[in-house]
Amino acid sequence: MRAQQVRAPHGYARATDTRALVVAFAVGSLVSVGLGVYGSLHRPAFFALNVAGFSSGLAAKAWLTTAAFVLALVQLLSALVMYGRLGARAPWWIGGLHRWSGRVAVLLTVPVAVHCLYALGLRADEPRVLVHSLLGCFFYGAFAAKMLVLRARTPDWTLPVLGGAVFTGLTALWLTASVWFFTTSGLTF
Amino acid sequence: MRKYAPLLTLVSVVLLGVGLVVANMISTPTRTAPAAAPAARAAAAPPAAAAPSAAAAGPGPASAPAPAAAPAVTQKAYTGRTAGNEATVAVAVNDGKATAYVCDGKNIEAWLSGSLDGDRLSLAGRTGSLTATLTDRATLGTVVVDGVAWPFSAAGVAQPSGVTTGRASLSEVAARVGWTVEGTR
Repeated sequence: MRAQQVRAPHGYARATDTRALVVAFAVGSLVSVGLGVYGSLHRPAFFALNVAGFSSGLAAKAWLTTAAFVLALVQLLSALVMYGRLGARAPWWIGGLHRWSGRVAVLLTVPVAVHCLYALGLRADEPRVLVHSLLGCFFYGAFAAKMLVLRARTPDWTLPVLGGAVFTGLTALWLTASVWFFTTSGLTF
Repeated sequence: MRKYAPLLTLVSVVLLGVGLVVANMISTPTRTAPAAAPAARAAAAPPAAAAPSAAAAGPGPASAPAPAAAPAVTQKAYTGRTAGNEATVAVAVNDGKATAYVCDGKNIEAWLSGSLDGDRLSLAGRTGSLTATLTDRATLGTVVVDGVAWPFSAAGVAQPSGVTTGRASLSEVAARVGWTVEGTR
């Protein structure tokens, strides 16, 4: 909210809004740290509602994350088109595609993250699991920061950097969980 | 409206997350069930260690017509291996119901479910079965998968600290057994 209310002072044609930037990064950091603290303090329930139609909670999570990752690829490509990096002129629908694929992708990750945090928590007993736990916290922090800089007059580099961080985070989360699951349990549904 | 679209996205993510956590909290039976069960038993019988004999002497007023003895443990998870280290065995017991997961990560995999009567575990599944005796500390017995029988032992893991050690050795398997046991209720 605050980031939206801040206005650049009159007379500056391209004034960047440092306050909005600080707010966005502060909120993002708080989200990351908050998730990590919850994950370590909450007593793992070893229980969570399952998604219907899958053989196990893990399979459901692996496939939801895979779907989110595919949408994240759409995000990367549509962002490249919007920034003109793929040569062609950006078609009119590319912005809508980018927004909606992003929304669907992040909503798909929410049940997975809730399951991770509620049933298992932040863990450090294996390198893969530690990396995955920290990345999960980072991902939502980066996502929150990115949402907050979208409509603020922050420096030009912030949006691609944060978008790249969100994409990298999700890709690494997918690699440390879904790919791990598919390689150990097979491509089960 | 457009101006606030990212905030709406953010808010909907938060709402979905909080909603799912609340839904999970409401439907998680773990914390309430074991708290109530020992209390009921304490009222009905002397110390918990004597539970099997106490139940044989006379079931508590609240308990249903018990077919045999009361379960030796109310809620407990065990993790271990077959004698020749062919497969990992995870057993979870909850309120007389038991679930086991046997897996070697390659060819052997079986989900078994059944019951705990007194200290006797008997479980069966599509591809195997498991019979064992069980104490608070460990369970020992035989597991059969695809017609091959192995003796196994599995040590009890105490919650919540044991959950962590159980996880360290069996990782997600223990978690899956946990979910399944809760899911069968």
